[in-house]
Amino acid sequence: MASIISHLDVPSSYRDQQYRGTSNQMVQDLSSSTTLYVGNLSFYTSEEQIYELFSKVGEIKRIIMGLDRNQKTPCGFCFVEYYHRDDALDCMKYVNSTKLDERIIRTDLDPGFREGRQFGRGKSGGQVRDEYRPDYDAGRGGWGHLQRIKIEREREMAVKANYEASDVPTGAEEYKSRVNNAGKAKRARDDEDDDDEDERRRQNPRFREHDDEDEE
Amino acid sequence: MSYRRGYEGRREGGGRWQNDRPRNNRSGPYDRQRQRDRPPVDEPEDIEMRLKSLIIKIGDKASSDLKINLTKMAGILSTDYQKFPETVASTFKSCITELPMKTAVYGTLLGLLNVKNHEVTSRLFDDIVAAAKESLAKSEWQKVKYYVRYFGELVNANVILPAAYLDLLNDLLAAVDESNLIISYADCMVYIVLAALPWCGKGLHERKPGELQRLLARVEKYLQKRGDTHTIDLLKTYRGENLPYSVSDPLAHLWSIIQNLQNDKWEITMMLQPYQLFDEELNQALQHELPTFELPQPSQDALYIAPNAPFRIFYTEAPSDKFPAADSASYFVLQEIVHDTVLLFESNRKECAKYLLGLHNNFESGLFATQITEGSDKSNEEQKDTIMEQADGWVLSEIVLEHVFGTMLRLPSPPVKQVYFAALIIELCKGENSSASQSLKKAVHILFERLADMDAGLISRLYNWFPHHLSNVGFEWEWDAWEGALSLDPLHPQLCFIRETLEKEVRLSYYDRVKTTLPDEIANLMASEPPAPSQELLSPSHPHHDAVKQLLGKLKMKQDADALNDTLVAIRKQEIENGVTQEQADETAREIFTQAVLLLGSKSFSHVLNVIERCLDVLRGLNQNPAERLHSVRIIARFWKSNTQLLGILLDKFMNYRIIDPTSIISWIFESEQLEQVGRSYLWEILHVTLNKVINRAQHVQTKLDGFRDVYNKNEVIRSENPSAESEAEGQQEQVAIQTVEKSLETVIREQKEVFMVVLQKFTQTLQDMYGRFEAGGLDPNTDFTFRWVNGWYKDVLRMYHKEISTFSTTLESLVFVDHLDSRIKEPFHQLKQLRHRA
Repeated sequence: MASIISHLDVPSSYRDQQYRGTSNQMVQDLSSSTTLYVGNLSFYTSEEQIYELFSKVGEIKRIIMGLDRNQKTPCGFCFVEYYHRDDALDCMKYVNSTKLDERIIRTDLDPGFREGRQFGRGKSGGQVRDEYRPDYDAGRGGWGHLQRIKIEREREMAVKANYEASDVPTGAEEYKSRVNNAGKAKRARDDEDDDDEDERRRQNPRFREHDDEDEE
Repeated sequence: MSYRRGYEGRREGGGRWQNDRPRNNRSGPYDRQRQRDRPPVDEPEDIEMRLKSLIIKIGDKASSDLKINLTKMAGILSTDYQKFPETVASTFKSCITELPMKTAVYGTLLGLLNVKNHEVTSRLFDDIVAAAKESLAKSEWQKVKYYVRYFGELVNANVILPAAYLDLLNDLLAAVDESNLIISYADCMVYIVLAALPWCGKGLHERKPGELQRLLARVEKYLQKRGDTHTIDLLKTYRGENLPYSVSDPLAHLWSIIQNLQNDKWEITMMLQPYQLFDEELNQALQHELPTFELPQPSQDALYIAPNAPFRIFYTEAPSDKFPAADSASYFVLQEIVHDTVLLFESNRKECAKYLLGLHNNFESGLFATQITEGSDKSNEEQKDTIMEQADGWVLSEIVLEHVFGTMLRLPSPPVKQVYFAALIIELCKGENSSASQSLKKAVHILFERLADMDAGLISRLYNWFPHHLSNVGFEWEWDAWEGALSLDPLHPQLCFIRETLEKEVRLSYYDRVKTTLPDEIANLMASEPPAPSQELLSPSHPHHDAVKQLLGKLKMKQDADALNDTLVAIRKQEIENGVTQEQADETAREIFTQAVLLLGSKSFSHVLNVIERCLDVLRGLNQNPAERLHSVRIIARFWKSNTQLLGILLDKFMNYRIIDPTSIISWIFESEQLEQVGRSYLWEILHVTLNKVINRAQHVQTKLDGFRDVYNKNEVIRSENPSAESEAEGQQEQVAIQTVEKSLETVIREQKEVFMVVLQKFTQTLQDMYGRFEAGGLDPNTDFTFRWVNGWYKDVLRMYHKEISTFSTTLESLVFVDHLDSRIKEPFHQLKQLRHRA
């Protein structure tokens, strides 16, 4: 007798476009997997915060943080692997759509982690969704990537229109320099890695102090 | 036909039952794919699905339309049953066993169908009876309970005769007259019979008063013979002199409720009686035969159901119009339905919350206080007005929460993972206008007031749940109300509760964030700084500063064990030159090396796993005997003193890599320094992680062995059909493999036994020492919080692992629970035997 209660512990219709294997294989992988994809995390959410929440459901084997392909910093997703499949299923029932770090997170059954999947697939290194996102999300690096480029361009145009006059009014210097810096930011970061690291630490109090400079 | 169009909209969000997949909220490139998956409208399957959803949704909403809807539905079924007989039957059976709040509606529905179409009803009825028989044969007692209740409603709806139904009830009660009675079985049967009477007692009383009387007399005779059972100490929610409510035998309590109901002429104003709307029609119907049901053989070891033990939050002994009286049938019915719904809908907390908060729809209107109704009704001004007038009455969200907490705090263990209840409560509080958030605050304050007398294991369930809940509601809480607790003994349960809540909030969020949510007085309970690793090693004044630098450099360069050992040898040498013993020199080397590993891995636990894996051999070399392993535990504990979460994770990982062992962790927990922290949860969490590890190892090997044996047995069948030298060799190989696994199973089971032995020895010794000291000082141990925590954790461990412990209780009796041990320590151990029949 079939139950009339719809179960929450089923995979969503998302399919990994880069999955290598037949769709049969994927169905099989999904039906025995102990791994979850976890999305909509804040970039600042730490592995330990994830551990604390997800270990309420069962013993965790490992957590793989999703990283920005270029920066090698967290970009808002991770994989949680359990020892037992039941625990992964229970996450779909008890953790999916609840909050972690004050954001509603999304969990989905995953066919299993493979090397390379920890990296964002968006053009700019992060997740694809952060390329197109039209809104501002402080936990995920502010504006979506395309939106940010658009806003920067608009601002640059506005500044140009207002201040390109031969004598710059006092006080405008500040704006001008910001625009210039924005353009250079990419190059500057490579030179001043430590500053960048400090900035991250200042923004994100979850980082433990005295981080080692050694990057894994 | 009306249900093909439009009829659907009776409950907003009509699609909730049709999709087997949860809806996802993703937008963007994936949308197209989703649309392709959707079947086109008006296919036959679609009509079938709508018919199904119509049956499921009937009676979801309290409305004067119930009469019209039931008539319509019966009409639809009478004509359309033929098209989808299987769907209709399976939906009906599911509704009976999965929607216990609507038993009466489905009873009347079948009654109306019976009037319209006896032949169709007969087929449907046979299906339902067959399903009930199957449940009985499979000992699915919860389902049997629903079917028996449903058959009672069928008496009301004139589908079966009261005499036939009473025969069924009497058959169920056969167990109570047996000479060699199995109490848990007989209790279960009495419970099933009594739990049906609030639904059908009235009809039976009107139509067969004498027979009903005789049935009740049988029950009464049994209960007198059986006597009341008292809750064993291990299963008490509260202990102490001022219990918040009295606790009686649940079955005896149910019996007194039924007696009250009898005195009230079986009248429960709360119960919806849709069959009364159709009195005349139903009177014309022909009845169906209820066959005899065969009962399964009772067994001493089987699991039987029993009425829920009382658990109360809002209920007070003083009569209140906000809450049904605890000895009323209304209280019992609501408790049953809330409790059952919580468990039935475990796989879908969202549906669960909808049904729970909509329960007022399933009972007579006018009893519940205004449920500020959900969005969909806002436009309906008229309805709003009538609702506004009912500000007094039972508060549904309080009733719901009382039983949700009751299930979460059930002893010996909650029926499902505790985190489910957190998820469910979050869901209950989600509804924009729901009164649940308000009721939840009230509940937490009441429970907080009672913490002082609450069982330690239950306090820990609460402080595991509460911060998780707060992390979902922006960490907002009425902390000011608890400032009075700050002047209490540091080990007072209320203070411990606040402290642990804060600590776990920090784990789920981060120190600075949590601090901003707290008034200063409460924030003072937090550490003065965010959790951070020990920096001892980096201090320029470290006696081995140069060697440390060298070691850290080598570890970063990923140099091999030999290179690392060179530095350790140098450190030892220098130490011995300074005049210390070899052992002390070894300790220094271990200290420095372990700290270096921890320091390099302090970024996250993935980092530390990396480092550990790289120098596993060196670490194992440093941990050759119990004393060395205990030393390592101490080093880790000191390093992560301010971060108990990482401490726990690291001990777990070191145990995984078999650098340290469970015994070393247990020994460390019971050192006097740690016992001073007895009110802190991390120690006991570490203990549980350690014990679970040992159990999981044994289970893992057992599963492996089962798998190997399965394969062997299957292959043997194939081989016997086609014997050859080759296949014989293969068989032998498989046997060897099985033997190897058997050996390792022996080892892990021995380890499990040893570990439990050590834990119980430590507990009993500590408690025995304490009793001795208190006796010498002429003090009551129960006035001392340290004692109360140790004793509480002890009972919790016994309860939680009673299955594992009971596998070698004889050994324990002769080695741990020996004669000279204080009887108060032995008592809970002996009570374990009574937990055998509990889930």
